[in-house]
Amino acid sequence: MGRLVSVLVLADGRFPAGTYAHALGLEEAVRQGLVVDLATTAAYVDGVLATSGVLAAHAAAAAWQLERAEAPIDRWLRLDAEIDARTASPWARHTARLLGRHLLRAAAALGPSAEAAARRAAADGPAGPQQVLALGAVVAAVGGGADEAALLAVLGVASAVVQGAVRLLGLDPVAATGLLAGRADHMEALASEAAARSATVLEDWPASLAELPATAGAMLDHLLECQAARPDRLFAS
Amino acid sequence: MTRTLDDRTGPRDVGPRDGRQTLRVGIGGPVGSGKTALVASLCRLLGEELELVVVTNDVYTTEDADFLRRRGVLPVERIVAVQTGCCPHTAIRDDIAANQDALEGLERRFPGADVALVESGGDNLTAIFSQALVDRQIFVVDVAGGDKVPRKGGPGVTRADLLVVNKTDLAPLVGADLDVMARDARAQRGELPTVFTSLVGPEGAEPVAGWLRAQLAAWRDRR
Repeated sequence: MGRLVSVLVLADGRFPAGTYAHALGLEEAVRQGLVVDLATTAAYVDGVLATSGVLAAHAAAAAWQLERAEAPIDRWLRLDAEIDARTASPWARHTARLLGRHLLRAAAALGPSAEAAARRAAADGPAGPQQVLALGAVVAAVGGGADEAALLAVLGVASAVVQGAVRLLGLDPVAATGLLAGRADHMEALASEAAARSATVLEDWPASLAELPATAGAMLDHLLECQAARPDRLFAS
Repeated sequence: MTRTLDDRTGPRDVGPRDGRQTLRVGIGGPVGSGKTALVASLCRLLGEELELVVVTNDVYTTEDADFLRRRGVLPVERIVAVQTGCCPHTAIRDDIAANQDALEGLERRFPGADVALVESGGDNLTAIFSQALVDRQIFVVDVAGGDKVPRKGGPGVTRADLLVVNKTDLAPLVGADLDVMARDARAQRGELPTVFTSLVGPEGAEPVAGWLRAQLAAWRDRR
């Protein structure tokens, strides 16, 4: 498969990697009355982009670099631990690996090298790779760029929230998609910054790891933990 | 080889893949048709002779799993609930990753499991399980939903390996004609079987249990 189509397939909301059942805490935010309409959904998207989105972009770009350089397993282990350490909510860490396993499974559709890359991102761990690391590795394997890996990570975060809001609040799907499109420049800038910073990840290893952002959002972590405790949840996260 | 109506659903005759020991059986159907009650009955009827595990996909998530646990039909650790983000059909058809993950986890923990029941969240008549997720599928409708349901067709009704028409005890109360339902089911499904059940009656889910035993034997013979 060509590079562009592969990247587009990965970005397609219908790519069967389990993301449809995740809305990054939005269900709990709706339950608590924090998100009620398009405007409050927009604010939630911005909050998630500034926290999880930034971390996801840098993590995916760093993973892209490791895969591209055929880095040894100990570096994957170290990167995995660094991203774990920046993810405070246990439910967020659980979800990251759940979605990573889903992505590993679906990556087989893009060929054996994509699947092998997702496996490397798991550092041979039985729990599977974290989703954003697998994403970075897979994008590298299909010939995409670090900026594309970062952009897919950021877009995945934002679109999970938007799709969740469409289903939970019945938002106008065109207006909701407009939320995503309206943040195109912002998301591309986040991705470019992450890709640029990742260029020296290996050169400056391991000092470069300290430069990875630690932007977890306390509110998002709180919402995810509430979500995890709800027996009647519709979304896994 | 003569093509039969069975060819419509593809690899029904494919035996265990990758050395898998567990027959995976999907149970789909509209909301309230009795899917969870059927799972509970099957666990009670077959629990002594077969080792079972269950994945539930109910839209109210753990409600189904709790129902099964409360009834004590299966140990808690043998039931896993999967969330479907308001899209029950997606989880069994378009993007089966979460269900595969749940099944593989159960099969790893219980390598001797004979049958895994995957209960879909309640959905509409077009829902169907992916062939990559289950080896056989059952579609459950009920007479209270109207006796024209089999006539309406849809992939669930026309393609499932077994169609279960449940709540036959309610037929006289809702004016449903079981003969009409049987005739329409035959017209929609050709040679594929249909059974009529009343899970609250003395026979309960026995017609389904009998079908399942035969399917398991046939599936194992093909190995």
